[in-house]
Amino acid sequence: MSYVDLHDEDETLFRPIYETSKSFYIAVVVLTGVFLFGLGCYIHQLLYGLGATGMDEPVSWAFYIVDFVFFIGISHAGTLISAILRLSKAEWRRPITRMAEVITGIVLAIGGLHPVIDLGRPDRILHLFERGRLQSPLLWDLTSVTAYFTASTIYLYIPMIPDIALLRDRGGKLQNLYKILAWGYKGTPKQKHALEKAINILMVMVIPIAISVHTIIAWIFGMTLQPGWHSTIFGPYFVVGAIYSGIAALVIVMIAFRKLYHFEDYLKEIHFQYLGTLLLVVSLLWTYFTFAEYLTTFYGHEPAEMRVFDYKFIGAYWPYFWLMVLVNFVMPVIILSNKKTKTIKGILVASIGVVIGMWLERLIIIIPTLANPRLPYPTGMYTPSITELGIAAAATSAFILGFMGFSKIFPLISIWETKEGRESSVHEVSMRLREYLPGHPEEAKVEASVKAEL
Amino acid sequence: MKEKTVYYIQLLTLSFNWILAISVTTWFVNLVVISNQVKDQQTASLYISVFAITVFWILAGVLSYVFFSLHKHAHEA
Repeated sequence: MSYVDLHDEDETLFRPIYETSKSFYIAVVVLTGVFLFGLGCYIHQLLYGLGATGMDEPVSWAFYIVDFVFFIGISHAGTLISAILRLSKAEWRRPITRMAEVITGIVLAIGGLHPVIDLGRPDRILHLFERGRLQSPLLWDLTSVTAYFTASTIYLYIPMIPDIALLRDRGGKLQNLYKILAWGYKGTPKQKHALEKAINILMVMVIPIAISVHTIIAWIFGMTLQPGWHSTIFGPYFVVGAIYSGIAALVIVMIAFRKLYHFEDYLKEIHFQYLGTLLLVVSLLWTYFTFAEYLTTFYGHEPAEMRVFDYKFIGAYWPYFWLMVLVNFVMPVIILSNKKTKTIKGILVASIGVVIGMWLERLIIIIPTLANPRLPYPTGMYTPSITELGIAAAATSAFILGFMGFSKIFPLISIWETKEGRESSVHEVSMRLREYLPGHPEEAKVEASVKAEL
Repeated sequence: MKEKTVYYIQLLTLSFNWILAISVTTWFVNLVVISNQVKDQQTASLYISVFAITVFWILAGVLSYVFFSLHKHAHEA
């Protein structure tokens, strides 16, 4: 197969790189403005210290750590979902995987910066490198996030090499960049084999790394004796929540860029239907974990635990808690289990709800526990300052800007995988199906060997 | 840009991954030495460090394998 042949058929996928609409520039200006405002807020915090935030004793972790857990959770959209879909040979993955992997790379970079922002004195991060305590989950966290970021970036880059080679051969802008990044790829069979082998190794590696990252983040909380945090199911609970918010974020990004770049022919209704079903299943799983977590707390009725429990259910945080239940369970289940409402618009509404709900979940996990510590401190209260809100807005803008910037350099949908799907998947899937069915495996094998000989 | 220049830039970017793997290993060895000096418990951290070091080395290895394979087989049919 000559990959240069792809040009005409998939021109739509190249167009965003070479053509830029006026609305794109307007969006960039607005988002850059928001980002610069957030940067200003951070500089203000650097000058005046953490007093510029709403944090105070006993609530010493707030918005930044909520955003950190939230963004790292979103990162599960990409590499994990993409790896699972590749590993299970789900053919509908082809137009989805690239976008999912890009989300991971960007949110990991943004999320990973939040603990540094939370430090107030960012220079103190160097202590962790110089004399970090090995048994601290914070150190495990730094290691696992770095490993996940490295693995995700490589997992994004390697399957992108054939597309970069295409861009190199087309000529036009950024030629030198494409030349460097294409690594001499010409599409020879041995080169393809090497790439496939590497992708196979990476997709197996990336799944445990992704799971370990959010498990370790959960352990930062779970390994303390704080009420509301000291739970054995926190690891898997966080992983399920991360996958849940990740799928929802992926759906939002897919719908937005489908509309912006006219990818309707690639991202079809069926893709959203499958993702909607996945979202529904994970919604039920998340609800099960949430129910299990709170039910055991309630039946234990330990006084310190109950103070946090009441704070969430009927105390100061009741609006956030019940809104979370509404948008994370009631709304997605109603929308996604009904054929009439399970449309692209319906799935978008459910996904937006889930992203908001999962952010609230992180807020509800972190603040109420710190506000009601086990030790005899008075109950604390937390209200975010403009500085924190500005930095949170800047982080969101940075994510959107990063994604938009990526779309101007690389194709958002894998072109070579689309082509490969057209050329060989139909036959491959039909052969696989025949092997699954009773009575035909030998026939299918004979047919496959005859075709191979021909 | 000349082919040779491109190749050297590619090699340089590839070497960043090895530098990262070596740095992480050195960092962990340093932390283990310090924790031994101060008679600190290492518990599960030691396993996590070994796991992390292996991950970084495998990633650098996979990337190098792809890089050299692509260059080696660039002109084969």
